[in-house]
Amino acid sequence: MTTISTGRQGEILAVFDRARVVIRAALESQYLVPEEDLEAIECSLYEWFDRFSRRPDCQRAVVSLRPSLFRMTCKAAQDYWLWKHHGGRIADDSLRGALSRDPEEIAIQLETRVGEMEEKDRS
Amino acid sequence: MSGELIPFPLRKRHLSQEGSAAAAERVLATPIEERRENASKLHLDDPELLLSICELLRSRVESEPAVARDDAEFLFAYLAEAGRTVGHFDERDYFLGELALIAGGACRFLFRRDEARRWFVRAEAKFVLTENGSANIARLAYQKLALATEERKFDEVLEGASLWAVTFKSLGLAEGALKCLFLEGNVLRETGRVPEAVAVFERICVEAEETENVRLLAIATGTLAQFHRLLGNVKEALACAAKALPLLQQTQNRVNLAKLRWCVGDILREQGNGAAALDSYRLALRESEEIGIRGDMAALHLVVADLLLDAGLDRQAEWEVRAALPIIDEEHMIPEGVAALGLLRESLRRRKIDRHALREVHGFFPPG
Repeated sequence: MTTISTGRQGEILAVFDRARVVIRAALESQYLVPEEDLEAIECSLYEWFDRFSRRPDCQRAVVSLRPSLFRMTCKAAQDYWLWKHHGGRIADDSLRGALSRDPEEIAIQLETRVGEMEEKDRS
Repeated sequence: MSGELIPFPLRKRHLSQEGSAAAAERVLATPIEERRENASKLHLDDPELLLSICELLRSRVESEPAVARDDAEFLFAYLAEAGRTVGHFDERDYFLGELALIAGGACRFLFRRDEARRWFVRAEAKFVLTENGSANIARLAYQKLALATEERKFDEVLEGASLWAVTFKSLGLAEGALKCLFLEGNVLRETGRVPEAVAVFERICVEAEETENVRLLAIATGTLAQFHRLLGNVKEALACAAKALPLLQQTQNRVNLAKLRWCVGDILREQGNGAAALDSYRLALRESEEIGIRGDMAALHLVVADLLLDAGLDRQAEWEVRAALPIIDEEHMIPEGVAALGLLRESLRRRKIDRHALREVHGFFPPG
């Protein structure tokens, strides 16, 4: 069944926990998500990533799925503002700029940041 | 958490990972006609539950393809309803794609090729919208190649299988890569290159054993039994069949179990043991009937007819052919064998079965 080994479940938690710092930073500083909504978005992202990592197409190491989590973070921010503004125009230029950027580009940026954090931890 | 955020994909999770497995069994045990009215009680749009259901259905494709197809079809229709939301972000598209892929795979086993193709189109339309879409498209490509194998498009399959095997490996999907080898081996067998096919399947067995993939090991060993039989290696064929039988039973792979019994029937027949062969064919036929593999049912009726003709039991053979023909007609099977089918039908009308036409018609079915 989809109940998975504690090993993989632990891996999912660990990968998400490590990524959470940069996810929060991106949501706060690039996507200007108000503090009171951050936890809810993070919670959605965790639930999604937990199930995503158990799909039959995602059998490789969980850490290799992290770019997908970052792409989905961008998608979550876009969905959030789309809903918040009922699809209307967003006045803030920097937010508009962040929302119009390619999620892939932002995901690479976030992945690099986590990589740097891990490098720092090792040294 | 802000209360006004409810319409955003921040939905309450109903089921735990552990509870979802039992809930999935409960949903599938509920008659289809009762599921819609009990949808909220059954949590039919719960993503954790759907993940468990899809896993169950994938395993049932090889044990109860008709049931798996009906279940996947129901859930697909339910989730496809306008306004239905499931989980977060891409999850609705993912589940729709997954259910369509399961339904299509089941239809392939059921010999419903047009229906399988329609499901594959639906799966593709949904998978392209999902994260990690390329891996799902690769899984779909495998199903399409398997269908092409059954349609005897061998050049297409040989080229595609080697290309996709590389892609599966680069996507980290080792099982997919191994399954592409199955296709290659099956085409080699179909094109008369049986020794090469044996080499391919021996490689599959080694890799499946190394990765402890019992499901693929069971199928590959059963297939090797068939290939060794074709080469006249009766001892090896029987050894493979003996090894495959418990593995197929363990993995509840009734589709391949029926094919193995068919293969054992062929071996016994070649050894001159017609009565035991007939028993084995009948067992295979019963298994095929129970799980609704109508292609194998029709082919087995023809094999049994051929055996009965050998024994001089012409009237009984006639009944077997009469049992096969409606299935062939209803399912629009072997459109490429219309001429042979006409000759067989005509000989039946004259109550003197045309043996050549019988074998020609049988030759259009995938081997047992």
